[in-house]
Amino acid sequence: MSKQYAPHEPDEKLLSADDAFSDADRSEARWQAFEQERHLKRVVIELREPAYGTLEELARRQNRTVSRMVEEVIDQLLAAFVPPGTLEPQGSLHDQRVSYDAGKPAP
Amino acid sequence: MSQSELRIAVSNTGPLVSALQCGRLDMLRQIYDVIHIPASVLTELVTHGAELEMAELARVGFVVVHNNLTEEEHAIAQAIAETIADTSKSHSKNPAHHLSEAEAIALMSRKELAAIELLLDETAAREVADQRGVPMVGFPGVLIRACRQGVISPEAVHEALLDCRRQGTHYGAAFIERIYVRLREEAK
Repeated sequence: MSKQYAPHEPDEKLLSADDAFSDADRSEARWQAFEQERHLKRVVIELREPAYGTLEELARRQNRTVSRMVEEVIDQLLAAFVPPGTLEPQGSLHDQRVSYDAGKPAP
Repeated sequence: MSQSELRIAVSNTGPLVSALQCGRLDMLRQIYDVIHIPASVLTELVTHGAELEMAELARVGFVVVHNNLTEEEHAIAQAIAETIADTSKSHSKNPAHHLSEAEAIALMSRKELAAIELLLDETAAREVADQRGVPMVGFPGVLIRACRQGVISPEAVHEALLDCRRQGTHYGAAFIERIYVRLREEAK
């Protein structure tokens, strides 16, 4: 049996379910603003077990979070496989005129 | 990662006790990078039996304990505690019983912490925090957000709330079911 913890101030009132969802909505909006301000983008990666569990255990042993580990791995992958300048806009593509009128040649 | 990119929050005792009760400190660590607490919250957590867990979280830098409230912050916290005790939602009318949440609310005023929100569950303290314009979220709200981000499943949220309930935290059966049903609907 896992360790048990006494409840905190069990006599005090807690939120309703609707309040809990409003709470989550407001919190999400706050963190989205935070990410936008710091130019951070979130990705959701779904991993099957035991892959996630293994990562989680590794992160725990290294006193890190899974998200921080994944972030570092992606940074290293980008450094290794995407040398500076690789993703610069291609002149030949950008210079081509495009027709938005189906069937007619570009002006 | 620079300080300005860290996901920082301040917490009162209740949400951390709930995370311990359901064994979901890992989820908190997925959602936040640093959680600041006043020393009075640590004292309460120790009385709940979480001394070793908090020592480990402090060692890795996830929890930062503040035992250096200024005289002005102490005075503000005392005033907040009295206001909480006076609200109609408060069960205990003794301000001393509300000092830890009052100190957590006061800690949110420190600009240098750059905390985005306060983890707080008790409705009386939330009412006062709201009057002061403090952004906050309760533990169920954190679970819901974690679920929507794919950190945990609706079933895991359900089990976490039931675990808290089994250990005496007053999440009603109807409350838990409503959250579970709605999260499952959202996941479809």
